[in-house]
Amino acid sequence: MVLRTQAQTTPGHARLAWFRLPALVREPLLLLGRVVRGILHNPPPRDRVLTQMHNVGIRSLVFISITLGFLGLILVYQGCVQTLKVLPDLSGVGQVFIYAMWRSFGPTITALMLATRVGAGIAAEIGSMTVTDQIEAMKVANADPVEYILGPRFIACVVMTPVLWVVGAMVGIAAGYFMGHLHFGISTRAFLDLSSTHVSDVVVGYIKAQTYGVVIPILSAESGFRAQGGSEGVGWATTRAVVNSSFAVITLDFLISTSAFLLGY
Amino acid sequence: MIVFEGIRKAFGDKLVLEGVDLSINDREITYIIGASGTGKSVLMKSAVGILVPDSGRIIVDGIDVTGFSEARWQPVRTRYAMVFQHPNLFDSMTLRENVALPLRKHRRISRKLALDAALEFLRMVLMQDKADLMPSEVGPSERKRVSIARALTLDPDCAILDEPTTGLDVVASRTIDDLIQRLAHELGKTVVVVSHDLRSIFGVADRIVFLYKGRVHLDGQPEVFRNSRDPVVRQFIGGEPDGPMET
Amino acid sequence: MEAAAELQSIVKTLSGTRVLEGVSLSLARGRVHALVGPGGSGKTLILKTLCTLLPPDDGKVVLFGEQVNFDDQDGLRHLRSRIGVQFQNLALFDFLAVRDNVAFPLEAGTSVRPKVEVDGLVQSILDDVRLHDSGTLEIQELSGGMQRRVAVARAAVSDADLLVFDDPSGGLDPVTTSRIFALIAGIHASRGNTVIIVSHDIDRLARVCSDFHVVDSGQVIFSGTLADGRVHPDMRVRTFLDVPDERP
Repeated sequence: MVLRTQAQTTPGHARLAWFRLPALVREPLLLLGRVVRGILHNPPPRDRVLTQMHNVGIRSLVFISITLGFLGLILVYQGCVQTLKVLPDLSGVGQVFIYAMWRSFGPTITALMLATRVGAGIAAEIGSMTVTDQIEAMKVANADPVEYILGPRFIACVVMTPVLWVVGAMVGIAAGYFMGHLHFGISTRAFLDLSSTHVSDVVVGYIKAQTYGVVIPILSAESGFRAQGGSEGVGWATTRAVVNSSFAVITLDFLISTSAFLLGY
Repeated sequence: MIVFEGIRKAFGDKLVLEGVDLSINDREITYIIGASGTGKSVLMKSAVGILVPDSGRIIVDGIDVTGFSEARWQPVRTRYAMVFQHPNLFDSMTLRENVALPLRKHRRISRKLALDAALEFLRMVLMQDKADLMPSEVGPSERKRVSIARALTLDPDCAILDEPTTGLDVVASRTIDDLIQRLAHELGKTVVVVSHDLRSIFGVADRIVFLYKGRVHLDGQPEVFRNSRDPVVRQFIGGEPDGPMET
Repeated sequence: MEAAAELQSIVKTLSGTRVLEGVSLSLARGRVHALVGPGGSGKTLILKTLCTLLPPDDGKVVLFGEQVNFDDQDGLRHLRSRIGVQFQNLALFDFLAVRDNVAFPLEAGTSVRPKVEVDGLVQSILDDVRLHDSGTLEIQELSGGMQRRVAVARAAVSDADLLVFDDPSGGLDPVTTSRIFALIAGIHASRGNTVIIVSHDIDRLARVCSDFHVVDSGQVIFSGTLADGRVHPDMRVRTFLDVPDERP
């Protein structure tokens, strides 16, 4: 049976009626409010949070590492090839690459990968629970599905996304270093020169990773709760979750980068 | 004619069928009955090659089909129409398109002709008024009737219906019962029905097979069941909550 | 008699179709009610409205004497804690074992019950549905009939004031069906709560229900006793109530 979506029955809906943001932004914000309130009110049991951290973090580790490893190889290779066309000096490639890895590519590519793996998973799980009435059964059993299902997954994403970003960036840098050092003969000292990377770059990278870690589970869960019909509805929710999350990651990357730049960081 | 010889099937360490011997006659309505979980559906799925029994033989019209490969099953299966316990319609198509699909795939007729024919099949199960709705817009009992209509589109020799009247209201149930009788007695088809619906069983069955503890416990015409003194049979068809029956 | 639950002129439109067209229904407290009618007539939607899961477009829902405010989440939570539901498509949690599914209404939310008490309640209801040694199984390992019994057990485990069963015996054999209905009757006898059952099995309903409600095309067209319904002037009411028992 078709039912009202989670977001439409949100208590804040009436109170925030004046808050004329487009639904695309308003609904996820309301859901974020609910999940944060739920977690503060009634923290989910530790074992369920740890299970989700394992799902989100440990099980994405290899996937993220391989992706960022290949990205590191490609970026350094292209960087060196293009640089050699204008000047014979490759000593600057490493520092620019490391800076970019921490500040922009690292967090963004990590998040895009998480959107496909974790976001799709959350949407499919919640979506199939929605279309099989498990969400309603949960409500009647007096458990808030947002708190119960999204809570642990949200915490896991918030905690693990920055961790994956750090691991991913380090693997990417290591892979890039191998390419630069072994294939193009850049010295270790020149490649691993950190003079271009400031604390503020790492902070900006962290802010990005942290923001993505909040946005991906919320957008994905919101798609899942909206699923209706049968397996087609679940498929639709999953697609929508990945598209929205990826789109949000790219948009936020732009917004955060621009703000940081305007603020002089 | 479908013959089962010594069919055994276990799931994990749970033995469901412990040697079923049974032959299903052509142009007869055979009801397979028994407590929930006694393997009625398992037996039917093995008849169409969806489940492979651990041991025993299945012989369809004199041909031993046990151990047939998926490719060799295909021609056998086109002669069967199987309706599963849970209706498996395609969510992304209207009810009418669902029914038209086998016609378009196997008979290769035009979309318009197939949709017209589909409406006729929907009429047989009294679903013509909702032909253009999506499966998610109708109730489970209505989806079930549509899946029965879909199964009949390719004019099978034998229809296997797994709990066709479960969850259906009295009027819809009687429509299905009438349809079953018409299939067997007017159109000369073999109909095998798995059911718990006593009214349906004693209303339309030519023959009843009662499975109990993984074997055929009693097999005969409805009269045989009505007159049976077997305490387990009496408890089952009387629907008594207490008695010798183990479930 | 005082009503445990009341629907007043409920109107609901879903994806452009008017599915409930002014449903009025009053469930007298402490009685066992039957809701019958053709498939697709809106029985399940009426139950969902009663359980506060489907906010109506128009009309009032009154539960336990107070009008339901569908915008008040805390109020809804409180009301829902007094309702036990068995869903038509069961809606069992596929990520939990049988025991945890049944215990869910007791353990979830803010209710604090000692584990010993929860275990006792769960075990006793699993005994009642004859699944006492299946507590550790996963839902996927159960047959359809067993799943339905788990769903009935989950609905009945908490001491709810309103128990809602949407086709509790669908797909079950006659013996198990009788046991399920006997179980519902037994729960009602010991707790005196209000029960509503959707089923097509008029014979079984006749044994446990005192009040019958007939639904057709999104409206309740009859409320009363079975005897009254069987002589009702509306042919639809008689069709769905007055079916001769052909059992041998």
